[in-house]
Amino acid sequence: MSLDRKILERIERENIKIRPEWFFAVKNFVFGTGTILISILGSISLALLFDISAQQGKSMTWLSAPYLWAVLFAIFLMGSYWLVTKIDLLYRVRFVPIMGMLLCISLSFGYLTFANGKAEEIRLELEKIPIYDVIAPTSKDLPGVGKKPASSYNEDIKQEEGEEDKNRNKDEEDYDKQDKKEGGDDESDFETESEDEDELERSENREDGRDEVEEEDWQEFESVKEDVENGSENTGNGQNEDSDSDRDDENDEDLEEDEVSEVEDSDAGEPEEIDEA
Amino acid sequence: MDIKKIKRNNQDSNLSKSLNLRGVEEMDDEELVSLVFQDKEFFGVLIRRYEARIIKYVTRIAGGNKEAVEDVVQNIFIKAYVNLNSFKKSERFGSWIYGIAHNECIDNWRKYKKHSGNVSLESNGELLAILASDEDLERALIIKDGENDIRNLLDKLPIKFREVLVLKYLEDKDYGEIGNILKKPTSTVGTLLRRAKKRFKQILSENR
Repeated sequence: MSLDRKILERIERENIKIRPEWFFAVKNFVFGTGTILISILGSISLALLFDISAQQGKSMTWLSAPYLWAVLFAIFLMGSYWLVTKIDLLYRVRFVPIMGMLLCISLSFGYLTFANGKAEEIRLELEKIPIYDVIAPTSKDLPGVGKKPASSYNEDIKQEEGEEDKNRNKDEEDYDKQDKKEGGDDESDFETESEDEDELERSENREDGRDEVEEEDWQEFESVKEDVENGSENTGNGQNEDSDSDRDDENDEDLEEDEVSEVEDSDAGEPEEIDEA
Repeated sequence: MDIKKIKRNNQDSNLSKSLNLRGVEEMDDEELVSLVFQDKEFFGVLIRRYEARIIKYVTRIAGGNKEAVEDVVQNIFIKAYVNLNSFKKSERFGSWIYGIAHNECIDNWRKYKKHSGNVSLESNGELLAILASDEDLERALIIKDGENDIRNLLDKLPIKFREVLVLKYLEDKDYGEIGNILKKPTSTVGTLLRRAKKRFKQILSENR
């Protein structure tokens, strides 16, 4: 019997059926889904690798390095590559493009998982499994692991900046308090200096050389002088009607020491010579 | 040839009696595949078309006696029938069935590694000429006095190297077809061929 007859009879005898089309569509779907799932597991392994490495930082040694997650990541990566090549027509794509794409996907999702703190949560859940401490170092075993939650890395930076600001403000407050105690550079002094500058400008612009403050002082002086004259002397005089310049010369001679010191303190210009009586 | 006419002429299940064989034999592989879904007897035409080539391929790769080879070939065609819906019209049927033959040979070789000897190379002279790319190698092969030794040398090659050499130089397939058969990228096929030739020369020099 010819080979073709043998085969056709065997098909008839064993009732061999042709697989339906949907079988192959489902097969591709299963391999595709498997690739995605294995890639996710690879991303989680990578995220845990980042998390434990970040926790340990400079204190990482050869013994404490997260080898388990590095090995698992490599296994998952190769597994997802194998599944991809089982999908129809993808076997024609070379190794490097497929592996590059899988690596990019794993790195992106792995870093995202690490950055939003999910890797730390997963690690803490894994540490609850009894056998985990046998195969991987836990937060109890290692100095750096578990002390600082990964999700607070950004908060730490903000906290440090906040502390620096606080210290700066505190220093400024202490400085202010000290100044106030010493009576030195406090706000009133700064204001006095600015007032003095304003007065100097006004005095330069004034025709008679006297500004409003001086005018008030002179008016006050005038009233005091009148009181003194009225009180000590009964003679009237026409001194009240003198001009300001004449008044400067005449009144300085008649002033008592207390009145002179008051005028000198409030004066913005140069102190005038006073002949004491 | 009109398919409806063929079917109208087909009164009983024995296709070889009622079919106009001349017309069916002229049909393309892809047309025959679409007819198999309607009547499995058309599959017999495909078997007859590729039987000799597949037997030769299996004999060259897997080796073994005639019965063992026939068993393997039967399994190949049964698998081809079962998975007929996975054949895409954009592919060549020959490459597709060679791919099934490749998988079956690998599975068979893994199961029956002890029987992997006795590889037949009826045209090993041609293979000799192709592989012997330099004078030293050719002279060595002449000294070795070819047939049995070449067969033994190829037996010593790993099956992946043996396959690619047979497909390229004896089956006369191009890189793309070999890639489709072996389910590998074309660049990988080129690398495999280079390594296969290098290994062959290495084995030859070791056996001087």
